[in-house]
Amino acid sequence: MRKLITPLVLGITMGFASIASAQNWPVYGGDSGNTRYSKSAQINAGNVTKLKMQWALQLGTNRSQESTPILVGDTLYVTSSFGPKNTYAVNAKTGEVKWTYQPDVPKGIDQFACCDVNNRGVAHADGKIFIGRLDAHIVALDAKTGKELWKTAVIDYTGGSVITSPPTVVKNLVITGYGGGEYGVRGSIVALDQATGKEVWRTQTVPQPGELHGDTWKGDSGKLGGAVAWGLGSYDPKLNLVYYGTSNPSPWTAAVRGNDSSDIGKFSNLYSASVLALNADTGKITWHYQFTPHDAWDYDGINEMVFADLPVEGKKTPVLMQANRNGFFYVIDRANGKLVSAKQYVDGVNWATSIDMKTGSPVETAGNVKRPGMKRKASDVCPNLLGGKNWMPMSYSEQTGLVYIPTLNLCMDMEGIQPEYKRGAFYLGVNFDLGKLGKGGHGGGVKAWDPVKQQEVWFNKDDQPWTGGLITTAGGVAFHGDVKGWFKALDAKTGKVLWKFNTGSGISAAPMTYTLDGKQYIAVVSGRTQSIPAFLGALGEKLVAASPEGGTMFVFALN
Amino acid sequence: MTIRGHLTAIFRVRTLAAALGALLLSNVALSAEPLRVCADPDNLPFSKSEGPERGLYIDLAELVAKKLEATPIQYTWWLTFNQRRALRNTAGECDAVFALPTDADYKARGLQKTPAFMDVGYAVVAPASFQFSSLNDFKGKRLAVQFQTTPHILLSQLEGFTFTTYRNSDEVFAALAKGDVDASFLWGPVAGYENMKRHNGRWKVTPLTGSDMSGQVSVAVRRDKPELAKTIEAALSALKPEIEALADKYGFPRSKPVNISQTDLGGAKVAISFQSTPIQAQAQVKVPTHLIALIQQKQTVAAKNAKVEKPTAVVEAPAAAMSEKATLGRVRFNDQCSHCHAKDGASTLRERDLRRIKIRYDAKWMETALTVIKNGRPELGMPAWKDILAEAEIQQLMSFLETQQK
Repeated sequence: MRKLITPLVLGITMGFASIASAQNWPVYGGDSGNTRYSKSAQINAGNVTKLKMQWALQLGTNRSQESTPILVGDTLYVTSSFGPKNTYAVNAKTGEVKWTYQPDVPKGIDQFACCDVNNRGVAHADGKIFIGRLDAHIVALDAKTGKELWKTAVIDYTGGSVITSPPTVVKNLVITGYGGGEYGVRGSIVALDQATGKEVWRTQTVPQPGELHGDTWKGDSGKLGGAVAWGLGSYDPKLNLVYYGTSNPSPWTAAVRGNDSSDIGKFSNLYSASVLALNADTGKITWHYQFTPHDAWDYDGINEMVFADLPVEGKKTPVLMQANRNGFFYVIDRANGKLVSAKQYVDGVNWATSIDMKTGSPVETAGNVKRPGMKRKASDVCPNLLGGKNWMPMSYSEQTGLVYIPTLNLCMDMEGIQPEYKRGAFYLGVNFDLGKLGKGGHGGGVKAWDPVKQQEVWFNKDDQPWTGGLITTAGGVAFHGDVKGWFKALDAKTGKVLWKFNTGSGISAAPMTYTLDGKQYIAVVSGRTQSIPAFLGALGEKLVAASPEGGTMFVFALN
Repeated sequence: MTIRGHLTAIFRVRTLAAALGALLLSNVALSAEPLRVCADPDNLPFSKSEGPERGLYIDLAELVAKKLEATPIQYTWWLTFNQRRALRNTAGECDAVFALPTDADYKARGLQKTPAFMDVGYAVVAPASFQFSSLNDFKGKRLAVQFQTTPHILLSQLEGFTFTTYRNSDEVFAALAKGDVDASFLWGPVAGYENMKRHNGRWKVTPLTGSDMSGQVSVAVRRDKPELAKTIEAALSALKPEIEALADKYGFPRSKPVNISQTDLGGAKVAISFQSTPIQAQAQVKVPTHLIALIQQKQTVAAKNAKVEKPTAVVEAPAAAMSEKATLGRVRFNDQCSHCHAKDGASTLRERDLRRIKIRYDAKWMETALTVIKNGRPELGMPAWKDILAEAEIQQLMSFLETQQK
């Protein structure tokens, strides 16, 4: 394997987690700090035009692929949508399948998955592959054979809790959250023993009356308060802290959880729409920071926390960065949760004007005009509930010092209404129209963002929303896909499209890169989103028309 | 006070012009075609695909079909966890949906609705001794509400009410029985039915109106069959006494509804003013293109089903231990089921591999298998066998499947 020396740029150095895994991509986010940055530079801005497809793997499902493969040794592990229906272990050089794992998941499970039957991939530790399934089980497989070693139900999925993201592996633990913020589930983050699957700790994300912050919920509303952690976790081994973002509070009807106005009083609904830092050994909440107190917009706070060491008051500080759905880019001291800075990273954010640096709370637009309430319609609220960025992951390049964000430019009208009587399903209690393009009329696009100055460096607009997740490399390249199926290599400095390849189906999943026997590969999973367009009216019809459904992993290399 | 004590109390059944009804009913003999009905297979007291009780909607559908001389009914069963999704998935497969909210704002593509045939609403479920005549009477009481229902949202916005939130009606009944709460707010028909079936009518169930607490239901009929809509309307009109009898059969609360409009609240601080519109009018989550997505999903499934699977005989003849019943089941299985599920159920398509039912459904596998054999999974191409095979034959299949589970 070729050793690469990366120059330190802008005085910024890598976090501990990145160094250990510079070239083999052992975890969804490239490293446990989710930087999605690789030190590999064989493929670079000068030669990326020569990138050629090497092989492809059909995933066996045709819908909403969201998986980032991981590499362990010379094996790639990748999942398909639906459960996952298929998990493949393949030879990373040839794409030959070594084994397939097909879990038996109960039929009719899509009743319980609010936002598609997706899966984002697997985790690995100590010869085991860990998968979170739609039926809310975590399973451990023998990485060599695919044999199921243990299976643990984290929660009853029929309550609306499904698992779609890979768990976080920390020491001897495998840590996961689950979904269900739309179904009246109470969130928790759960750690299982990697060897046995036995539960080691469980931290509730919604305190109850009598507990610390239990009084931030009106009445007993915290009992079914949502705040589920369905996204990716991050882990800082030095601080021994695990970070998870939490979802919107439940139900969407804010009046049930507190005041139906911007004057939220004590009803902030902790720890919903927050980031939690948990002690990895005990699960104890070491600190929390709430992005959107008493959320009324579904500004889910689960987007991934990305690590960097940034200068704060002249001192290099380990921070985490999040491009929140609410349209603000947050930089937070990851040791203590102190807000370093927060700024709108997408145009047109109008539900709040700024974040008060003293309190850390948003300054909401006056007069409740952008806060939907019971029978109080808020019009042209930006961003819409899909956020300035959705789950598709961003990347932080230590080389350029920039964050590359797959942004969305959508607005909405929203109004609280009475729920329809149903037997236990998708309770929203709001009426919404999400299919409104924001200012400028573009759907989204990749934005390069300076996290120190909190300002845009360049912006590649996409006419359609749902730009795919990113990686960056020491070769000065950023890679991502779009809903039309194009997989692109960008000059990380300027955003210029250097190369592109048509994968034949929309790409939401973020790519990854690995180097084997001196050859650098880039892998990406293609398969257009299916459920999200359904929320976007006429705009969604265009998304569906943008490319066929699909399910294929493509692997590229030079020559 | 019992539910039955209010047989003659107000239970509004919408009437249509009797003359119109008679006129149309004389024409219905023209349609010898079966009536295709869509309903939820597991939603008592409203509908159920099998068992001794079929629910008010199904009993009513059978009565309507009889009047139309359109028996037997062809059912398409679809779970209505999400009613709108169910409607999209069954679009084109039903002549009539039993039943939908009457309110004009509850739109269902391609369907028109008959005038309402019944009023439904939330109800107060409490010990017989609990008295109330307005919302004010609930102040200072320990109340139970079901999560994210209209009473839950209403009480959340008012000062001076003490309530506990429960996820389902079972939990609410349990809280009542334990004395944890003085009174509860539940969906009337379900509460009435459960009170009758499982609690010996122990609780008083009082229907409510006002503050979005009640609405009406209609049969929805294909828009391109206006004649059928008229005949069903007429039938419903003529069936008024029968509908009342069915409401009693299923324990629906039938006493005079109590109006709990907040004008009765006196000095209470009202956070928001509610219009008095039916509850069903409120659900308007607009996801039109979901239709496209789901149609495509269905096409994918259809394409998958269209593939002819080659039976792969990988399982050897079971050992002599197999009972006679199971052996008979095996013969029948390989005769009638193996062209989709492969010989002995050992399909290479995982979702059709019947050796894995137990792994998939655990303790509920037999119940699940039985339901699927009887009612089919029309959306996946699995036919309903209950009118084709005798019960004893289905039991033979079950015995055989039992021998095959991994």
